[in-house]
Amino acid sequence: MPERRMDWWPVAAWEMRRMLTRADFVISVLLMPLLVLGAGLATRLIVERSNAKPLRIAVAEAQPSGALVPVAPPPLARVVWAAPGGDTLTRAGLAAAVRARALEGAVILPGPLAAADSADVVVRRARPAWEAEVLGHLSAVGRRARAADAGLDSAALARLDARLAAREQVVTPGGRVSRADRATALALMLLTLATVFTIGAYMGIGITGEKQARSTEVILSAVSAQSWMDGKIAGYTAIGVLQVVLWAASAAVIALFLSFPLSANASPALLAASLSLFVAGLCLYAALYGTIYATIKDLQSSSSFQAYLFFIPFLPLMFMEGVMRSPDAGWVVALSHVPFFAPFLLPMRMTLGAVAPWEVPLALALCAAAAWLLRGVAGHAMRIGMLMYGKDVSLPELARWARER
Amino acid sequence: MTALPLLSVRDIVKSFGGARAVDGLSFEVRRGEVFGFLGPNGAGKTTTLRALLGIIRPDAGEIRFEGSAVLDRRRVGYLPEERGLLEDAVILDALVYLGTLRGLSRRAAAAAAAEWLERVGLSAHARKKLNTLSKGNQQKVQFAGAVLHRPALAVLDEPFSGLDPLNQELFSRLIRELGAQGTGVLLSAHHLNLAERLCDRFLLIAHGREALAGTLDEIRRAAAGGAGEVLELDLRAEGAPDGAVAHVVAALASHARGAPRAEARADGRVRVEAALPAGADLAPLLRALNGGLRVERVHMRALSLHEIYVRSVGGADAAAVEVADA
Repeated sequence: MPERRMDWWPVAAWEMRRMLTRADFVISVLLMPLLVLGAGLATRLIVERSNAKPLRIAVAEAQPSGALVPVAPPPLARVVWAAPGGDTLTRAGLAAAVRARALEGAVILPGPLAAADSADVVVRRARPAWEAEVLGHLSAVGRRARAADAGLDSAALARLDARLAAREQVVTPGGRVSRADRATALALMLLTLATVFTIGAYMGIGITGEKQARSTEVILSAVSAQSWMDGKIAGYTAIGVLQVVLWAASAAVIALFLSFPLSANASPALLAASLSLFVAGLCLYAALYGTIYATIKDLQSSSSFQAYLFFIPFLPLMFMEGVMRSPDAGWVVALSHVPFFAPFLLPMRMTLGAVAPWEVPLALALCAAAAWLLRGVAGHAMRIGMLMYGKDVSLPELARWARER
Repeated sequence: MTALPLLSVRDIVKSFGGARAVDGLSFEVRRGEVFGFLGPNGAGKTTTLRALLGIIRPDAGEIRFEGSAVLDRRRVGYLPEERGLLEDAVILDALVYLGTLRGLSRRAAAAAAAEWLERVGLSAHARKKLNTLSKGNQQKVQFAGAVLHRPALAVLDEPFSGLDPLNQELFSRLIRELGAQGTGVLLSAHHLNLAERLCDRFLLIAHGREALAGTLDEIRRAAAGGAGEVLELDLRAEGAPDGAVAHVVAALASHARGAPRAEARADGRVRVEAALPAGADLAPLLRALNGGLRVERVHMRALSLHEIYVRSVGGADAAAVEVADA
């Protein structure tokens, strides 16, 4: 039966209007940036306070008798060399002081620093952040003492210690990745993931809610199942785009407010490509959720087969670290063109600067084509399955539906 | 030249798994008529309605709307048997949505929704949510949603469900008005007394097939082997010899279509009913009423739609049981 042109539009407009007037949606969209801002400010405050607090660390040298004597190495930033005495100046005393947080840690040398080739380090928890820096500092002091004993002056020692001064020439576009690039890539991925899940949840409420209220039958007497599903997909995609634009804008403002540098690769082209991929990807995921919800009465009645489909958006998370490490590796390039993964992985790779010009149009075309096909499947599942009240669908039944005209 | 029917259904078949829900059904609905589509539960009514609304596709057969195989959904209105309301939506918004789905602009849909809420007496509830209304008022909103776009064909599946007698009268009047305005109304209802008053023609189905079709007079003549009228006798049996009533029933049985029924009333009278062929000679029957029985009332009436329904789709045994309930 031929479709009327644009008869999906009233459905899409209804869904958009309904969502935008829902208090929980408005609150969640507005609250999220405030939560992120709050978390960012809190983290920054904690880090700053932590950085401002000096670390009290004791260094002691063991005598042949076993007794300890305090050592005062040259100054080191953020470290105050403690000079314990009395009962504290024993192995047990130092351990007690560290346990009681009177000291951040203690380093016990087996002899004079110049001769020491090992050290006992007393810490509350293994491998604290300061340990490598303090040991490196003490090693350097010992090395200088040994050099002086060998008759070398500081200039000769500096020549001996001189490291190769490298001038790095990066020959691939994505070869230089900054902390800001990584953070921006991660933020893009999390924004996409959060939006996909939010929209999935709202679609679930929208579709299964109408099925349970039995209003689907009235609506499907007015528009075809395909138009109804197209309207849902379009409406929720628009909601998702609005949500992500608001969140992304908020994130940019928060980053500026917190003086957090944005990726140098962030550009209008990256934004346009990311948004295009996001729209195609959200259509694809909305169609996936539409297919799932068309076959179930409510979320509780979904089978394990349907539950597996819900996990598809999680899969790109598994590849996130690999993408961060090697954004231009062959398998990463291939995966970032798979329609379900492209909206997550390709913007990440673009932020990391590792995308060839042909990749975005190709991934976009594949994603859009997959979304178009899947929205047809969703419409078909809706038409065949809309009369299924209070009954779970099995995999063989799904296969039978696909064959029905 | 014969006017093109509004809706023409020819030999449609629909099966679910191995069960044939609709088995070669054919009928027509004309402009401006109220067409009664009746049948027992599970007869295939809802499946047929869903097929002609384009919700499901028949396995075989042809459905033409205004002569075309393409259904123009904007010209059809549908009130389903089970309530299909967006319960958490504001009433006016829900009606506007339904109107826009049927091709109205938002402005036109809002005006039509307001007009229909006024007609069904719910203007004061326009900004309330649907789930705050009573069952009957929800049905009124559903009715408004089905017809606010002035459809050419209104498919009403159990519109009287959940309505009190006053609102049944309101709906009857609204349905008549729809017909008078040229809308073809396909009415499926178990409220047969209302259907009898409202419908111009009827189709009774059973097991997915046609059982009876035509005007009330036509189906009355065709029902139960030509029984067209019912004889009602109120007898006083006090002081009569034992078996006097049984004697009367036996005498009627030889003339009646189906088994006559005798029912003792609380006031001591016995009501005897028997379906007779149209124009039956009552003299030999009345002669059988001797034997000490006192005849307090003799009444001939036409077979009701209820009786026709029970006889045609429920079998003669059911008819004997149900005939007094009309």
